Amino acid sequence: MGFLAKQRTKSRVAVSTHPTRIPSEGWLTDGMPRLAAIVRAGASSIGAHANLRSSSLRGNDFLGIGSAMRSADSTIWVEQIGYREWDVAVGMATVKGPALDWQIKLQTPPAAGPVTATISTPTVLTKDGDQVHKDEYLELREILTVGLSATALPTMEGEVASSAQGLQGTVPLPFASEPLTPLDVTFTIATIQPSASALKRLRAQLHFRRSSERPGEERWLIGLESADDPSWVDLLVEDPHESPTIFEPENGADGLTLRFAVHLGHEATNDLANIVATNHARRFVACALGLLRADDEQATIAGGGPVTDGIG
Amino acid sequence: MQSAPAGFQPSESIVAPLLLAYRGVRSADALLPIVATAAAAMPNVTNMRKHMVGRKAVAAPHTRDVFWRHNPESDSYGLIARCIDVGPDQTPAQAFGTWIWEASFISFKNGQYPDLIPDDCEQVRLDVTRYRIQKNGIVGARQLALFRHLFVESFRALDPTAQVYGGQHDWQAHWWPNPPPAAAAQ
Repeated sequence: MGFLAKQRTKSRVAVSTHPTRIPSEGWLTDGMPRLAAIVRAGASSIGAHANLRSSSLRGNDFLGIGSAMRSADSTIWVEQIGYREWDVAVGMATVKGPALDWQIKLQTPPAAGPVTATISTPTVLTKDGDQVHKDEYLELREILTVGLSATALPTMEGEVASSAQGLQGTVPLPFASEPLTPLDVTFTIATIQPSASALKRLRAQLHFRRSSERPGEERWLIGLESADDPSWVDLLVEDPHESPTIFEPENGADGLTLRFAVHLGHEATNDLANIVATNHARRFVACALGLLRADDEQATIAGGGPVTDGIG
Repeated sequence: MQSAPAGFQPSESIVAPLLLAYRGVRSADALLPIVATAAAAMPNVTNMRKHMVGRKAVAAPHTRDVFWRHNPESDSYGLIARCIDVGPDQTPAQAFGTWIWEASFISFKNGQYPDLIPDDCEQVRLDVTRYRIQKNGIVGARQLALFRHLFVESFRALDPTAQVYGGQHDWQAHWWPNPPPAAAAQ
């Protein structure tokens, strides 16, 4: 029996080559996304299996007791390596790394004309010669094979379902950091560059939403757009001659001090919104300073308390 | 606008690619700071998991966070962001080889999607190149969905008329409720 099972496993996992209808031209923009969609469909299909379990035990297993004691919900690893290779593997995530039941590799080497795909099995676990989780293996291999020869892409239902399950079917992990909200604080950046070029750069390149509520006001919205108590950063441009303690231009050179006011709103029942607003505020400071230092390496930052800690 | 090309049809999949077209800052200049901002905005969470101490596997709090790596010389994706669990005695660099998920980014020369995107638009794409499924769901899904949302929002901040094709990029507050005081491991 074991010999026959071993032969069947060997035959099942043999390397196969498949012609496809996917042209080599436009690989990055068209071919590669098609292949990735086929792989996702296959992985989601086996990911939808109920009670899929794997064991980290290798070697002899008297009465299956060891396997049962060292088993857990299976993990499916989906991996794209570079632009032309995909791995899908099933096994158990252990403290020492993945204990794989099997791994399927899909490779699509460059070629003239339609792409040819190769399916191989670098890893396979057997028990008494029989492949572990062979039904799932066959299912994935079938989806890949059919997908490679089809003109239409497979349905996305599976990956949408595994997305929804991941988003809503698990308990959120506890946050590891505390938000600064609520907070109102100001900070300044002093720079020798002309105000026009500094402002132009900030307006064009700061990738935070500009508020259009009050025309003429420089306000960037930070944090989650859906936050009930919004957060923002306001900018007030001051004449450098009126704030000599912060910046005093040499030889009459042009320059300015940019004064920012940070407001972090606080939501009593939405820790995530508070933390994202906090993190966004810090990132805003780093980006604004970085953009101004592109033209003036000596630009300096002052104030801001916890929002500017460690920046500059 | 034409309908989306194969592989970029609208869906709620958090592992489907995102294709963005926008006008303004060159994509080569915008991509890195935007990915860095999305990564920095991620909330750190604590994940209790085992790690090896000598020859013993011991449970310890790991910090789940998103880090990015930029390698313009790479012959593959030059910019990637990974969600990883960093152990108590590890640096992010040491834990970077393990992954919960990975998003990779390409900026294209104009004109790569001529039927879809006008020639004067910058084009960038986010591909989810590594992920795990466990108990029928994608692991680290909340972080990935939020990352995708913030990524798209940053481009929309640069150009409010930016076009987005592909999978999930909106954000629903109920996806990430406040964790219970002593949350169970995900």
